[in-house]
Amino acid sequence: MGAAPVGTLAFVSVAILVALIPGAADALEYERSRVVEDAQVWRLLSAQLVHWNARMAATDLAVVLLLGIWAERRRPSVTRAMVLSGLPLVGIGLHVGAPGLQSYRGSSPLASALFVLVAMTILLDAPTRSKRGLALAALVLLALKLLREAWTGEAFFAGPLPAGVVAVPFAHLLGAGLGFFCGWVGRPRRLRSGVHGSTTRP
Amino acid sequence: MKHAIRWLGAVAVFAILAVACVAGRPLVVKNSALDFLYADNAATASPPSDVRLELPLRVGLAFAPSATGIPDPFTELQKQELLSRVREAFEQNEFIQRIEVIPTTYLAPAGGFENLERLRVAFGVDLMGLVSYDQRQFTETGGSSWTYLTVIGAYLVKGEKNETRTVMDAVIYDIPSRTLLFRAAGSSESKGAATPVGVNRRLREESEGGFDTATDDLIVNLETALETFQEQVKSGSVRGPGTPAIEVVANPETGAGGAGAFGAFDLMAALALLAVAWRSRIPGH
Repeated sequence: MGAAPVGTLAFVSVAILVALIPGAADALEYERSRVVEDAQVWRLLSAQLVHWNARMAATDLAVVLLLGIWAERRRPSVTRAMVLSGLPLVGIGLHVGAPGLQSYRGSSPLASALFVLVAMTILLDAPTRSKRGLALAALVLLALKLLREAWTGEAFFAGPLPAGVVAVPFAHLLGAGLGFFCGWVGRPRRLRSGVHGSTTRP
Repeated sequence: MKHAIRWLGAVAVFAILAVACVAGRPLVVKNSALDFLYADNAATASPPSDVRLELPLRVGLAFAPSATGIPDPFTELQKQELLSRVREAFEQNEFIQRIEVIPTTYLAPAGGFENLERLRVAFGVDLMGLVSYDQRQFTETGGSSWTYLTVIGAYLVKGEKNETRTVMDAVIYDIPSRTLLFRAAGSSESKGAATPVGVNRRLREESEGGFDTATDDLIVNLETALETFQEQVKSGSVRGPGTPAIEVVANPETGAGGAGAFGAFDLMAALALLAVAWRSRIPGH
């Protein structure tokens, strides 16, 4: 039934471990001044492994775990490449694309990327039209959510965050873009010629 | 002759007592945020209004200027060093964007909130931390005490012979609302062997050491006061019922921190997508 989801499990395990070590989040969060002035470039990679509070960590990591296990079992190389490349790419994207952002924590960009990857996998590979329709609806829903977030500048139902911490919709947009790129570029070879793997297409 | 000797004796005793009394007065150096902020009349000052804090905060930090005309016991450079230690202790706080150490020369004696308003514009700060101090060095007396006034109360400080007692007090004000958010004090006491030889040098060393130790104590107590304040803010008032209301909001552009946060809606959407994915029976590659 597909490959073992080692990449997803490793990511979630490290994130949980980091949450349990006092002070680790402070050392690993994205902090613009530390990156620029002290060259602490690892913060670009590690920001998605730390969270502001337990509720945020639970929600973000639950989505990553559920979608990551499914995606990695079906498309292991694409999923692992996406997780590995997503850590620096999202960090650099936030650093360059959100110059006002002073600090950042959260793995929702990866969760967004996995959401898009799973939806695209269903859209491209599901045997029935109804399933492909549902996947398309999920992508449209996500696009509407991102549009609303971009319009209002607030994350949609992000839940309570600590005082002074604001949700960063741009991070979700980066993640979704990464998921779309990986989902399209990494689609199975048999789908690139337009021939679907399913035997029946009602 | 006997009469003259009695007179001489009486004069000698009087002279000794007089010298003892003069020498026994403690050496005092002090300044006061109270005098700086409410120099005219605290009772007629504008009442504080409700507070709206936009995170992350920009904080100014300065020694209150001396209103007595007595020169400060340390140089501007030494003041900057002491304040820099306070800044280093708090600049990593996630709710603070930056802390600006402001030279005392920017604060006029009895400048009040009008002076703070000018600093707010000039340095781009929202809050102002004013540090006061009161140091007394008891050189001869067997025991003494003094009352140290702060913005919200008074300390009774007791001094012993050959002691240096230092109290440092920091008040944090929201400049636009003129509201005291929180305060903390630090103190130190040190005893030295006072001998006539080199006493001035010794007193100077004791004085500097007193400010150093009191600053360390102040930093610890400020951290505690800040934590208490952060808890208090959740109740919606600065210091409980009867004090100004407070609202804390995030700067919409920067915030104190950014979060890539999913909520219940995203979790449900992910579960729904996963249900579709499982039912699609897409094989592994």
